[in-house]
Amino acid sequence: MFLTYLQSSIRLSAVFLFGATGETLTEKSGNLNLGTPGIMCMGGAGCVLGASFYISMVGGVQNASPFGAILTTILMTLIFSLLGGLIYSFITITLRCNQNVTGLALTTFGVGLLSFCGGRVDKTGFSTISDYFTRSFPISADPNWFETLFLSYGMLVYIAIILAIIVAIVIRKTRVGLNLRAVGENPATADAAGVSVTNYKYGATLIGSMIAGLGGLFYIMDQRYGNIEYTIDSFGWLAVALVIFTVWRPNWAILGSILFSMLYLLSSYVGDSSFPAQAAAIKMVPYLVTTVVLVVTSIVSRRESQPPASLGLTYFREER
Amino acid sequence: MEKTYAASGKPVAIRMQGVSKSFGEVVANKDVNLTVYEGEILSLLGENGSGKTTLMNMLSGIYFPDEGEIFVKGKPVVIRSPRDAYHNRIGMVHQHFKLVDLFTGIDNIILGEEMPKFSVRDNARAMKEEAHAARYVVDSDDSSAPVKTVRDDETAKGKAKLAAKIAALPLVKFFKRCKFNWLPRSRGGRVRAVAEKYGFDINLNQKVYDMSVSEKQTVEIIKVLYRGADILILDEPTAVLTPQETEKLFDVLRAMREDGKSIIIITHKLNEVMEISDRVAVLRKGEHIATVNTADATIPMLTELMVGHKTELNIERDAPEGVEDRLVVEGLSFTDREGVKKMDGVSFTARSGEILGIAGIAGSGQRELLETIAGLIRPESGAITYLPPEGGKPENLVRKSPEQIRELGVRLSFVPEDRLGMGLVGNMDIIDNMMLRSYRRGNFIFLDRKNPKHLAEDIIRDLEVVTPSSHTPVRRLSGGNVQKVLVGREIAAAPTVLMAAYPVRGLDINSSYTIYRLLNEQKKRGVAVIYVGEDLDVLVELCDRIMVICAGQVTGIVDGKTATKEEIGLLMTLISDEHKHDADGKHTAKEEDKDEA
Amino acid sequence: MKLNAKSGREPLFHITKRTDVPKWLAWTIRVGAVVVALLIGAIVTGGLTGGSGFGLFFKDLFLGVFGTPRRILNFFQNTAMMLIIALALAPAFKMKFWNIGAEGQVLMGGLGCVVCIQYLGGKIPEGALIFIMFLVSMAFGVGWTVIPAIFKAQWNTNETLFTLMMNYIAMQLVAVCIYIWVPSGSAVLGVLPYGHFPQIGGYNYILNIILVTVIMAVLFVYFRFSKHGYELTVVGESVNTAKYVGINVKRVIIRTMILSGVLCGFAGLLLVAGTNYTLATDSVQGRGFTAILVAWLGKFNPFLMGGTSLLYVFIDQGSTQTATDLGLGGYYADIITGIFFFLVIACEFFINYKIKFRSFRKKQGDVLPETPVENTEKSAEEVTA
Repeated sequence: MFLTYLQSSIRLSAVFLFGATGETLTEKSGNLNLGTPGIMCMGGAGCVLGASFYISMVGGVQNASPFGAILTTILMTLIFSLLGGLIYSFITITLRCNQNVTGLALTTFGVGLLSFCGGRVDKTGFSTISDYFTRSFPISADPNWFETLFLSYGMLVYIAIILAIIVAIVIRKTRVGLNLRAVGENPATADAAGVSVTNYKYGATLIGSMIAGLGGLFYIMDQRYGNIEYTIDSFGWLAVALVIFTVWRPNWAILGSILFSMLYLLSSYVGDSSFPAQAAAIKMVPYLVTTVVLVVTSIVSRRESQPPASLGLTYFREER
Repeated sequence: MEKTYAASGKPVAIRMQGVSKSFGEVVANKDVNLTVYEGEILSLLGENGSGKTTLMNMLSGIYFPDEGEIFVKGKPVVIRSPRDAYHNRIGMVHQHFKLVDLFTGIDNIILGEEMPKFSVRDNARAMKEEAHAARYVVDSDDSSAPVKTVRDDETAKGKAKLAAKIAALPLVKFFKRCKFNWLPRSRGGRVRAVAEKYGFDINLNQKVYDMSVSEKQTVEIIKVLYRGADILILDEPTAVLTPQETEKLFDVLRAMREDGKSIIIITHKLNEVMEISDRVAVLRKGEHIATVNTADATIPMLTELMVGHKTELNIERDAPEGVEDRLVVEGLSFTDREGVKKMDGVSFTARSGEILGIAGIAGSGQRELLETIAGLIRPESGAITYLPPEGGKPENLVRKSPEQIRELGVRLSFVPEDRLGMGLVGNMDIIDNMMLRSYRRGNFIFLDRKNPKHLAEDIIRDLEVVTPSSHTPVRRLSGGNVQKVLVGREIAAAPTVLMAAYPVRGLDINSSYTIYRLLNEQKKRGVAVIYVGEDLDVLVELCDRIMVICAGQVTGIVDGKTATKEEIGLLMTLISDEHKHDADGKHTAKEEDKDEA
Repeated sequence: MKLNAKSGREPLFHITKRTDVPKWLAWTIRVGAVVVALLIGAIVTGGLTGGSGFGLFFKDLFLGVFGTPRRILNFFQNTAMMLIIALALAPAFKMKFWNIGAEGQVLMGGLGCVVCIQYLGGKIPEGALIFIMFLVSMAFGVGWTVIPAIFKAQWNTNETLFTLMMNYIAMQLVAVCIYIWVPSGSAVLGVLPYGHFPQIGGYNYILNIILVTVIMAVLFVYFRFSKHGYELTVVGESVNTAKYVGINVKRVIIRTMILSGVLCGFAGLLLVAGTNYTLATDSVQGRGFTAILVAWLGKFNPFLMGGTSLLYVFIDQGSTQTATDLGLGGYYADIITGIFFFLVIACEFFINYKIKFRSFRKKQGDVLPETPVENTEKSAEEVTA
């Protein structure tokens, strides 16, 4: 029982982890992207369009090949989330407009786009494509605990974890990361040192957006087995919360996201299903815990656990 | 008209021609021509607001000129970004240091460094040429042997090898890039080599937020040198240093000049100009007025060039009258959130009818002291006793909020260091800013804007504030006018104690003298004036007594009429070493080295 | 020397800040942005429908809003609903308190109403019920704003996330309550029989519209002329300045968030007692988020916010009509309003900055003849003479 609980939590954690890794990368460049929920939705929209486009292209799901289907879907997801990131970056970096409102508008837009696309595409064959994504390592029919916990997931879960580790290493251990952190802490300093603030902000935001967009893909194609779900934005918001929760460290986000999804799934494993009120009350727990953690971290604030100093501010070199 | 200088025998490092820059309607630089030679120190002299920094920012790539051309070593260049500036070997140490506080010194220095060039095409060409040459040798050596087969074999093998090598070049580049990008724990060897070459003694593994101001400056200079700059620009480098630290810096600069580097120092301090530079370029209101050899220049002449008319650079100082104790501060101690002891048993007395100066290196606790008196900081211990003029009841002000202090009838005015961030609200107009002090008066719910409007108009008229109207947001005003508005408001409250932190920082000479005049007027009215300053020349001319603090401790209170700058400078660093010993044992050895130097 | 060749060019354009844009130009730019947004909307619609949608888009935009008296009433009702939430947010945002939890705060206000109706409905006179609903909804709204405010004031807890999480807690709370009140398990609370606002002139909603208009004017006076309004503006501009002049920042934060909560609670009351007569977890329909954009676009000035609410609802309702007529689905309006927001946000750039294009007067790479340098510099004698 607990094993299944843990296993499904680790699986669901990918959606949080994609979002949190992408958002962390973005925030490290000083861009507070409240559009991440929208970008995850846009990624979802891209994946829905990609899948249906692929199916119609090969002339029906019976002709589909795993490689082509996965490639097309991922590619379209990346294109759509990149598009979301581009809208945000252009408005906030090039045009230097308010990051918070731009992000909120992007979320509105992304939610609308997913619902619009999801309502209009032909969804037949999605379950087949979903099978490609959920295919795990070969494990025995009656898996032991090791196989269940470590080998039973679709490819996207592993991709999420690997991406989180790569992003963590890049941020902490490379020059690119050093420059990126400088841009987020003090763009004027980075600029004076010859770091192109615009390029770094664009790069981090666009790559971050693409990573976050994969969260939308995962949720639809893996978690929901190809059924389109329109509430991806609420996962996006939790991912934004997770970034603060894990003090801007993607490696901690791996554990943080598992914890989040454990709380999220708590109501399915605890309590009596004949009392829906009780289940609804348990669903409150992840949000309550996040709030409590938020309060606790703010009370014991340390210099190293602060957000990037220029987070949310636009940078203009000739500012006087 | 033509006049050649001794220095003109040297090659030209930089020439700016017809450079102009404006911000909105404000013209910062107008048609400026400037030449810098290799191996010289040029002072860029001008009042605050005369466009010195803007001009240099166009060399360092922060601003882009509206018009004009820049030549580096005779070649026309376009500097669009700081990176372009580095490519042209220009580096600038900004007045407000451009350092990331959370990083170590090393990380700040290697920040933005570019990978050494590695061109796949060039390397491939070189390899081909080398292989060709080698084969040629083989050919000639083996001319007697069965030529064809050997050569074919050789070349086929060699060709394949070469092709493989060339094909691997992008990979080599990739690995080189990875290696360059990786930051090992023990990074910074080359940085330390540069630091040692110029004899800088500093621990570069410290976080910048733990560094003193002069250490931060050292990091900035090492950074510029490390990036290979031949042309160094230093913006007001001595503003935050003690006289002793200034001397050390000047020694370093002279060593660099010997090394053939060009150095531009932005400053408005005439004695430093005379001491360090070879030539002086004077800017006034954004225009280049003249360039003279320092040897030919005198201080009055430079002043005249700088200000545009003959000025008496003397601050009046009348003997204090009606002196009585007004504010008695005893044993104030305060440790900030980062655990730094900002005040350590500070005791002094401010008296009516005199100006008490406070000197010290920036960040020695001056701000905390004033904010504690103003009720913004609650100290851990100590007492502040206010003795009202007509012998009223003494009041203890410690641990009272600004509101409570006002309710006690204590008329305390405070001109804070951060004018637009603390003293005023940048986005509000002058009237609403006047209201900051008085809005609580009158009607219970609604605001009274009539009296603040009169006050605003009075201040605009009396202090000659240049503004379109009293409805202009103060953020749009120039630095001097902002300060006049702030000081005007604080004085209008008819204070008995007036505290001013760096009130002339960034102001031009005329505005500065207006502020000095206002402070002196307050002194004559029997106000106890506390003046925190950084320019020691001004402090010894203006103040009746000068209190020196260092690392939160009072190291001495000297008489303004007899004190010398050097004396104050020594007091400014007097206990910092001991203090550091206490705080951190591992610095001990290093500090002693410093003492000997 | 590839790099030098590259850096030897003047940039195509560069950007400078401008502070003194005349008002008429600023407004022209903003109106232009709205027009462009509508054009893009029309083009997208046209593209999706093979060209026929282009003209229809504009037609439906107006028909959807002004086509029937019912639609006109809905238009003003929706505007009032959007405006009251935006007004509720304005004090917080003016104080730079990033409250993105209006969704939950309004929902809690609504929950307060429903609680009263469930337990008091029919037992006391309708007038008294509405009065109690008024008080309880405000108390609920205040509860949901003041908790993050206290933590913000005391420990500087990040209010953005705090208020966001409170949204979800509120939604789950409503879900729990509905499960308790609806034993059948359908999880839908039907139309409640009690606690309806009276009709005016035979129409619903009129009272809502009047009340919101009054609140808009009152809030304007509060911001502009009251001491409280002045204090919260100072706190928003600079906490340091506020402390410097002796404003109790914590008190102002909490006081302002109480005001914000009162208005949120009131919005919940309007939602339940004046509009829907029921409650669901998604009753607020994302207005809590949209209202932030509406309020920001109105620069937190109540009257301007009235204007931006009208504009937003106009586009939203109009494009919904378009989507219905063309069979594009209900969420199509979100895309159109998203484009509208992007353009209106982005147009601020052209108000705050000026683009200067490269001047082609100068010939590039033209090396000046090496004139004696001293000629260009005036000597000291020349000047002082």
